[in-house]
Amino acid sequence: MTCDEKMPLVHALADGELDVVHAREIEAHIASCADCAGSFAEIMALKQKLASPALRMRAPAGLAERIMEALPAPAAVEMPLAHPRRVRQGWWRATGSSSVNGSSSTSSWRLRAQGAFAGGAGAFALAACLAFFVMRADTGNEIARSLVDGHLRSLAGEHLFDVQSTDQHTVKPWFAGKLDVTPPVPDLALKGFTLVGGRIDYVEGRAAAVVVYRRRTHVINLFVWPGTNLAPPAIELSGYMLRHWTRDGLTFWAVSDIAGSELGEFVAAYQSAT
Amino acid sequence: MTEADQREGERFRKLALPLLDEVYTFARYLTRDANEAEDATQETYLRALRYFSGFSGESIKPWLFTILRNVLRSRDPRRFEPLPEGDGGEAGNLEPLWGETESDPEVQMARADDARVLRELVGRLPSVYREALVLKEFNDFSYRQIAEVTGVPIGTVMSRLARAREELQTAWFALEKKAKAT
Repeated sequence: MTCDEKMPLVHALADGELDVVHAREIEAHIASCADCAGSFAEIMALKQKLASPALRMRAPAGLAERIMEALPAPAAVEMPLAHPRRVRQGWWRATGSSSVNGSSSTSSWRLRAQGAFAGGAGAFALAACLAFFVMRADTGNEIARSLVDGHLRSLAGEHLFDVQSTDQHTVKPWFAGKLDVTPPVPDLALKGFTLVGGRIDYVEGRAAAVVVYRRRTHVINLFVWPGTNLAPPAIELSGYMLRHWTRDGLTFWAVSDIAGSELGEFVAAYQSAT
Repeated sequence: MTEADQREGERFRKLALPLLDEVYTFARYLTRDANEAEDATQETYLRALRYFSGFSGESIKPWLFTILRNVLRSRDPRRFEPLPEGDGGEAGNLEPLWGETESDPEVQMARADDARVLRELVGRLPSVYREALVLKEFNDFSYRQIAEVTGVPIGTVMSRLARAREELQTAWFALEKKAKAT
């Protein structure tokens, strides 16, 4: 492959779109090719410049109001605030008190909406809202919380793998003898999911096999344990996507921060390969 | 007004409205006109609200952006037509770019206002390059998401992004050189 032909891959590396194998290959090439190293540095410098907040714009103030006028009137009763501890940190605290103070539902609603837009807090407010909704929906679903905790531990700490290998024939036998379950470990590289290893983790006090895959720079933890329980097939918790299925007396939970549709792709690829 | 309507309205408000600045920014870069961007953003939200009950995906942002693109295309069917090779971009309809005075990048470069220069140069990219770049750099969309929103294969997304960056860099370096020379 000539350097010209490699150029899209150099861009893809800068964009974090390459799987581990290709990323290593292109990194190795960049280390030995001054031209491509220069291009890569230029791309990164440009990305940096384009990250400037000065390039983003704020929607005109009247626009939000006009859109909100088209929305159905909000319910008179405020949403129950089931998690006061969280609420105190969020933007809706002020909004809750505004309705307590007896303002009409419309004006308190405006206030809340303005709160959501104030200070460029849009993205934060969205994330906060999602967490809030999910917490309300999943109070009974401790297992999802436990799985996301396990996923976060794997990202934060050292404990992403007990065995690190992109070879399915290394990872699968490793589980045998350690657990009373040996999960299927298909090679999904052609589907865009790179096997990176496996580990043993604990979910609600029970040992689980975890097969670890990567999509671009994102980790997918697949938890597997014997036995089946009723659980929803898809859950979103604090911005993490969870997919659940059972097969041959085993429970499977895939957890990741990739888009739900991509995680769905992963599940389909895994299921069709096993 | 049924309770279900209110719940849907509430859900829409919580999910879609916090993205207003981002949708508007995308509209500004695509239209390069403040009034048109505002109009298109409003229409996008009204359409989105109308179809919201049919929205079942996890990620609302690509969905909103897709609607915005459809809104813009219904106003100008040729907006996202790829340019024939060798065409020097959209130089023919450069002005007014942003409905602002002092939008000349050379003037901004002399004032060392990098952000305005870049904004201007991004605005001058052909629209199909521009949208790929904005989706990637401003919204951190994956190639797959960009492909879905813009309705082209991932390979096309990759080459458009590469072209967008090359053109931006070339324009940037040319201005820098000029600024140093004067």
